[in-house]
Amino acid sequence: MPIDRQALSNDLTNLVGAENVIIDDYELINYGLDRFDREHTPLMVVMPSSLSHLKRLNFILRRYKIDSITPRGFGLGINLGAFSNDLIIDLTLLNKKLNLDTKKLILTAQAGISYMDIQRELIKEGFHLPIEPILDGSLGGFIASGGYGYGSYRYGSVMSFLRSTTLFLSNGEMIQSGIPQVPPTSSGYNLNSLVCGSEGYFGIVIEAVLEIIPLASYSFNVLLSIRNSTDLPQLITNFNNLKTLRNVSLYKGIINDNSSNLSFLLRLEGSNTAVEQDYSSLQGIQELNLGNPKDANKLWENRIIDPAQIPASNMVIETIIPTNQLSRFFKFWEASDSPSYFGILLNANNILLYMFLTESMDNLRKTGTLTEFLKKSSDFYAYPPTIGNNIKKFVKKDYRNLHIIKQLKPIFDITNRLKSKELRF
Amino acid sequence: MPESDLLKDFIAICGQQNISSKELDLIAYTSDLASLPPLIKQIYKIQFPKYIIRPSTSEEISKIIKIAVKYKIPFTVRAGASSGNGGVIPIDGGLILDLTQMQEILNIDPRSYQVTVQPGITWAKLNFELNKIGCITGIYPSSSPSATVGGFISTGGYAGIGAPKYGPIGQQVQKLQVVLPSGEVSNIYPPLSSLFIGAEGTLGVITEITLAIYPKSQIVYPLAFGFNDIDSAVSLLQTIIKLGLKPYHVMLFDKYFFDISKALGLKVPKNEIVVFLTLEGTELAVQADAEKIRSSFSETNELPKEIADNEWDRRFKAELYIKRAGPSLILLEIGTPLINVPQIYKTFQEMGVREKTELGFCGILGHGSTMLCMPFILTDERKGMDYLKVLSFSRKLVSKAIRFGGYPYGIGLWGSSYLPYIYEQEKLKIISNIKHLFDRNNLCNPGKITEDRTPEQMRPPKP
Repeated sequence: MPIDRQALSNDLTNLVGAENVIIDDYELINYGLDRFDREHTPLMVVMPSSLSHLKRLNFILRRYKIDSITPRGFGLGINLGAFSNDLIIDLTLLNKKLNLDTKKLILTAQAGISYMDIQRELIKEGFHLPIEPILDGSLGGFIASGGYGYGSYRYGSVMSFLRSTTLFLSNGEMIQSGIPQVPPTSSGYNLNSLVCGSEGYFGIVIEAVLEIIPLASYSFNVLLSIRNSTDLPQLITNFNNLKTLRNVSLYKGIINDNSSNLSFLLRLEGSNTAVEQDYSSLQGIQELNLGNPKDANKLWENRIIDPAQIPASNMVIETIIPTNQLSRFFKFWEASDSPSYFGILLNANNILLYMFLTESMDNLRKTGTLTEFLKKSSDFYAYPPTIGNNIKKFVKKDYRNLHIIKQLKPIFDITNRLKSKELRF
Repeated sequence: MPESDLLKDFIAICGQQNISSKELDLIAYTSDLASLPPLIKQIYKIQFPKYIIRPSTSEEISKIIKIAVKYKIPFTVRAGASSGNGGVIPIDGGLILDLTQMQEILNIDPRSYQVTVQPGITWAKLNFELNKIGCITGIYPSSSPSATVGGFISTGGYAGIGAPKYGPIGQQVQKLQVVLPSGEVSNIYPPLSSLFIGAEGTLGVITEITLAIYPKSQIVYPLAFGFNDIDSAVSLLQTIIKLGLKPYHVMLFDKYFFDISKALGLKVPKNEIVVFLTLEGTELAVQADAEKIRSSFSETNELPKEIADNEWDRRFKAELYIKRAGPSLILLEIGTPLINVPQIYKTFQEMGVREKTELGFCGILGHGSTMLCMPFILTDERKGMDYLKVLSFSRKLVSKAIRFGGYPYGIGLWGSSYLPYIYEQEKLKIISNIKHLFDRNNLCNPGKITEDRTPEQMRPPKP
């Protein structure tokens, strides 16, 4: 039986107020307009602003037999994980910083808060979150999409400093995925492992407790470049000897330098002595061209990409590739028309790459370029960090434990309501 | 299936020399590092295993598990058994899969700083081999000579040597190979791999581990500071953390520990609380950090370098020293925010005085301003009822610590009864369903984490 849209809208309006229910087709387009596509228009959008709204929302979902809900933060995911033709729960009003405990070094905040807003506030207090997203998304969105970013080289993913999330389950119950007081790596089943990167598949992250760390006493940005990508493996090995290295980003055809060069932005953080020692060891590497420190600082200051700067008609492909495949992969990629890319080294073995294409998603689909690329990328042992809606169909059945994840879903999502139907595997 | 046929099958898979059903072996394999007097075995109805099997490959384990599933025989994985939480105790009997023969280093890639090992290799052996190529593991347990890589991962790997600097083991695991309780061999990648870290072998048998490794530092530099009270000691650690310094290893001991060590003829400091703090890095950077730490505190706090060096040299032996003074030792492990340590310490001391039970205290600094608190009690397991009384007191300590934000590190057989005080009902249901999804017949290390087999008389008090 079709959903009575008007009645549903009335009930939602009674719950959260008319201004927090979006039903107008024109406004709904904003929710169908993720970064690079505009195929989906949701049935309706509801914006809860309290936990009690969420609890009561559950009764309404049951009454109207809503069988698909999609949580959404800022909707910036490259692979369109926050898209749906059904009901979208927009979490951006759940945007409060709940507690900053500088003695226990933990921060508790709601999922819809801007990640970088919290970061800026923490920095003023002398602390920070060790990893930062590439785009300024919401806290919940960053966790749900795997949480890799600036700082991953030293700190891994958001899993490394996530104590716990408050997970709202589709049956209306709430659980802590970890233990807020201590790291979740003590014995027991670490349910954070099922929250990070699961794109809202198991439950809706509504709050998170994160470890914060004091700012280093000294930091230094280094811009460097190499001419030949065959020098890459040795360079990456050299990075490992730098004890203060927090971040390595890679640029090709994006910053204003010789476009045939591969440029790297390194962020060193630690004590003055340790940072200077690391910098001296970089100066000793012959193949490197060290850039202007002012350019390095500017690049670091502007590291968070403003989504508006990326033309909506362009496609971005996001993939993780083993570093030992990089030289080979770059040769393949550089044969394409627009070989510009940006990457973040996750560790000595893997890099998260964003490849910018000047063609639209539709064109790429039509010409088969995207299919060819995604198929070909498996030759390089590459895999996407998020699956979303965009590349779901290219993901193999045995893709990185997906068969286990699928079996785990009904344990959390008893009502089988979470995520849009087309996103369920 | 007749027993003889079952045995024949296991022999065909692993070879006669790798199967044992000798009584002495079976007895030895019913306990771990902790004391386990017969009375406790009776109360918990702990059964003897039928066979001890020592497989060498994941294929062998897969075949054994498939037989176990077919005939509904419980199986429990075990390696160094250097934990004391009862996680490797085969409460329902069945098979013991002893992984100590699986100690190969399968691949070291010094260029990409990655090593792949079998689970039964000890941390000491792995680091010995890595040192040869100028590398180290990020974290390793203080029971490194006997603790295995698989065991440390299965028990959470949260606190150990290197934890404040490199983080818990989960940050270093790049991939696991797991034989699931169905017998299927599966590669598990992050973040899902974290579900298996700390699962105490209840979701499958970890058969291969790929870890990130790091360049070995130029120097390791131990320091020691003495204090008259716990508050000042914890305040030192908080200051160091706030300075943004990342010590390599930090341990805290109380006077009772040193009194025991002194009785064993060792040279010890006289302070109420001593903090051993080790830095690592290049010589210049370490000296600069050491100066920063020193300048934060009164000179009178720093103990002679010799004391610090000695403690670093015997960092693997602390537990051994305590145990020697025993004859039996009850050692608890409780993870807690660092700031709560003084409150927990003082409460434990008060409880000890009230119950006329002497107890000692040590702690290891973990990741993210937390500490693994390890209160310990010397006792004698041969004195049945007295031992039970001390055991019951130890459970009161854990319950009290939970009230102050503590969390039992290592659940095993003894800790499941605390979980209802920590997890929501819904979460208990979820973890139980996860276990059921992987292990429908509850054969894979039963009685741990998702099940509470605690008899009524052993139940801990509510926090």
